[in-house]
Formats: sequence, structure tokens, C-alpha cells
Amino acid sequence: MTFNFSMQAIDQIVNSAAKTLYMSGGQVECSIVFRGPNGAAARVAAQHSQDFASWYAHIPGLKVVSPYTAADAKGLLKSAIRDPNPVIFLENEILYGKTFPVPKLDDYLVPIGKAKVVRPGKDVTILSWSIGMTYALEAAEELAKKHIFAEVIDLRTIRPLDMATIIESVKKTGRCVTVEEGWPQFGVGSEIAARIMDEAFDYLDAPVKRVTGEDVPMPYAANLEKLALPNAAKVIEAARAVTYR
Amino acid sequence: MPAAAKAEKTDKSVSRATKALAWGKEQELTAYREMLLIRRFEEKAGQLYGMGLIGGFCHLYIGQEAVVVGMQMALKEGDQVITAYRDHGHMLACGMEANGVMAELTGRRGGYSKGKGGSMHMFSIEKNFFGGHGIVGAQVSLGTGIAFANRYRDNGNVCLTYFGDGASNQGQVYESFNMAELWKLPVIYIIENNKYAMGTSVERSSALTDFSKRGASFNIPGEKVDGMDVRAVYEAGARAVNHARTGEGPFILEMQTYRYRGHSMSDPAKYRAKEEVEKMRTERDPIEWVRKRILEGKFVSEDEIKKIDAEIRQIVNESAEFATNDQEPDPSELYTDVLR
Repeated sequence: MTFNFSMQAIDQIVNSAAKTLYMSGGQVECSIVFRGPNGAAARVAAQHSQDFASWYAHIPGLKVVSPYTAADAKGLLKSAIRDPNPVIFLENEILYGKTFPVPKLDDYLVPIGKAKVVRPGKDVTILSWSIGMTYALEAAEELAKKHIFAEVIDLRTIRPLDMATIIESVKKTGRCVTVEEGWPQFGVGSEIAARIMDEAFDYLDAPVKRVTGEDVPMPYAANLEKLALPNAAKVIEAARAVTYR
Repeated sequence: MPAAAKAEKTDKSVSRATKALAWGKEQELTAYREMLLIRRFEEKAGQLYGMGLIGGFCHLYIGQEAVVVGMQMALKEGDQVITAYRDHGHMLACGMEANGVMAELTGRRGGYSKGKGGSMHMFSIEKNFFGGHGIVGAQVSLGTGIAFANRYRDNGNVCLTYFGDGASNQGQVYESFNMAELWKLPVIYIIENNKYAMGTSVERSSALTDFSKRGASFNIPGEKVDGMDVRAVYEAGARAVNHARTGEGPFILEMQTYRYRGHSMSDPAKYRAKEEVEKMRTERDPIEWVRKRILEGKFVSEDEIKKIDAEIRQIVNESAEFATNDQEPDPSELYTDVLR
């Protein structure tokens, strides 16, 4: 079962898990982790290919975590379980097949709410998480060949957003591209763009650009599915647009 | 009859075909042809999946053919059908073309949803088939809504709403049951109990494994049916359809059936013994039963049966050919049909 089926019980998550602490004036805690595969797998069409990051990240009272690497998956899951709040833990089905090194430590924890600069750069900040990182990193590699040096940041946590790390990077590069599989309207990228305007407007040399899934339900046909999803080429195009190169 | 099959037959709570039902040549041949078409179509779909021509999820109906074929024979023009994601058999039984269904499986423009829906999401309003739904249990509310429309329009039609033993544990099923009985909606809930909710046996997933009783607290009558015998399905189906059509409200049919393949193509089905599957195949195969009756009743000769088999193969091969050679949708289709 994937997060596509979580809508069958979204009331329990949104109306109960997320709000009980607040509604009870701090009396009733809801310490729970909802973990499962999120986002598009491959060719499973409209009802099984959705990114719920922005859905859950919209809700005060929830934490939303979505790791890219195996090490982060381990460290963040442990932190999520120890967290006293409801945590939505979004995994990616395609990343299950990818191998990463994992540190051999007895108690390996990665803090919730901390982004990670995965690749330092000076020309443009590329923000992503989960499978979006594969497109971001591939794009950064290609951009470097064209002497555009991208700083790639893995958000890891979608709520709360690590704005400090984002703003620090944007102040340095002056340009920002967000990458997500979800739909553009009211997406995570939209929220980040708004927050950058609030907190670092004077540092921007170009408008923030979003790379997202197309604004359509996921089609089944192989050619259309490819068009609907973000990829490295779209990230490169966005990075070149904001760097005017 | 093997001993195991005999023992099963002694379960009096399950409806079998009665002596009163005297199926002649025409019905037996129709049932045979329809079931065989589904069987061969699904086998071909499995092959195309193996060849990489079909992607994603693909849930085969092999073993359950008698359910949808028997039910369809109890319907009249204008009655609707809605089901979940194990839907290819339902579509073929509704009279949808093999070419269009197979082309949807390969994601081509000649498919029933222009290649945009795929295996789990296919519709034909012309044939009164309302999908093809990917979320477990979601179609139950939709089928109830179709029945509501029938009642509102007073059109005399009924809606067959299919779901599995797993889906019968979903919450919206019971919200639907309540409204259906309250408003006496013409809906037949067909629970295809194939013994496994994905990989979990009904004993491990369901508190009440007698699914015919799932409507008890709403006063919805139910019946357990031998879903491997197309005649038993037809007889029980006709009773249920009559109940719904005459304004008596919903009816639940628990079809005791079995799927030979895994939940989907990516399921190796390690949660059950090979012998269990083999036993069903050899002792209870719905198509073999009809074939045997046709030959024993001397309705047609063995040669004529072979001719039917060849015709079916031809239809299926042509559909595979069409689905392989048809073009993918035009890229502009990505943005169509989102809103009207």
C-alpha cells in the first residue's frame, strides 16, 4: 500500500492526529509515524502516482519528512519515531532500488527540520528532496560542464522547512530553482519562493523558478508519463534561465 | 467427482446450480465463449507484460471468469457495471472490444481511455462500463451513486458493483450499504471472494469471513454462491437482479472464487501453496466444467469446440497485434481532458 491510499484515512491524520494536541490545550499527545511509498512509481497511472508532500506540509500540527539517501532514511526514521508529534514519512518507491552507504553506528540519528548542502556551488541554488534529488544532482553535474556551479540542497524535511539553510545559500547565489514531482499549484516550491521573497528579496538576481510535475493527473502511456514528470533537462533549463546563460 | 470437490459441495450455505436451471446449447456455448475469451485475453496480457509492452500494475482475472460472465448473462440492456482494478474480464463481458482494451494496456491511442488510463482505469459509457478504479473499495460508493441515478430517473436499470474480499473491509462500503438500503437503490454488491486480499488470506484479514452477511446490520440480504460454476452465478445473479429491479433494494452476492495468478504481475504469490492453486485448476476450473457439459450433452462436437477455441485465439492475437502496432497518444493529449 502506498500513500495514494492514505486519502481513505486522511481525516484521521488531518483532523485528529494533527490537531489533538492543540485542541486539548496540550493535554493529549499524538506520537505516531505514518510511513510509506509516496510519489510516482512507474506506469501506474493517475490514482497511484501522486506526491503528497505539499498536501501534508500544508497542515499545522504535522511534521513531514522525505529522505533521499538510505542514511537519511535510517536516521530520520529513528528521529521520527522518537518525536512526540505525528510525522508523515514519505518514502519513494523508485529509490528503494537505489543503493547508498549507511554509517554503521549504534544510534544513528538525523535531526528533523535540517536540510543538507549536498553539493556546494556559487551560481544557483537548487532545492529538492527525495527522488527530485536525482534530477537535481544530475543537472548540477551537467551544469558544471557549462561552468555554472549549482549548490544542491536536500531539504529532507518539508515541514518544518529549514529556511536558515535555504536563505544562507540564496544570499550566496542570488538565484534559486526548486525541484519537485508534485503539482505546481500550491506546491512546496511555491511556498519556498514566497518565503525567499519575504526573507531574502534583496539578494535575488532572478525570480525563483519551480520545476514540477505537469499540472495534470498522471497519464499511463509511456510517452505522456515521461512528459509529465520532472527530469534533469528541465532542471538544467530552469537553472540556465535564472542564471541568464 | 474428486473427493475434495465433493466435500465442498456439501456446504449447504453455498448456492449451487439447481436442477430447475436447464441450460441448453445456446447458454452453455455463450458462457464458454465469453469465459474463454477472458482467459485467453488475460494470458496474452500476461505475455505482453513479460515482454515489457504493458507496464505498471496488471491484475489478471484468470480463474474468476465464471463470476462476471454469469452475472452479465443475468442483465438487460442499460444495466451498468463498475469494478476495481482487476477489470479486463468485466470489460470484455460488457462487450467492449478486445482491441481497445489491449491497446489501453499498452498505452496506445486506440485504447478505451486513449492510452491515458491504463489497465486499472478504463471506461466505456457506450457499454455501460463505469471503470476500472485503482483505489481499493472506492468504486463501491460510485456504484451506489449510479444506482441512485437509476432510481432517480426511474429507468428500471440496476448497477452491478463488484469488489473483493479485501475491499469489503473498507469504511465507505458500509456508508454505501446504509444509503442503498435506506433508499432501496437498485444495486447488486458482488463480493468476489478469491480468498486473498492481495497476499493476506481472508482468515487473516477479515473478522467475519462470511461476506454474504456483511449487509446484515443494514438488512441487506445476501447469498453465498459457487463462483466457479457459471450456472450457479447466473441463477443467483438473476434472483438478485430481480430483487433490485423490482424496488426491493440492494442485494449482496458473495462469489466464492479463486484467482490462479498473483495479485498483480509483480506478485510471486508465495503466501499460498502451489498445490492449492493446482487443485483449483484441476478440480474446479470454470471453463473446463462448461466444456465438459457441452461435450457430455453433445451440444456440439469436439471439432466445433476446437473451432471456437481457434476463433477466440484469433481475436486475442489480433488485439495483441493492434495494441503493439498502434501509436502512442499524441503529446498534446497530456493536457486534454483535465477539465471540460
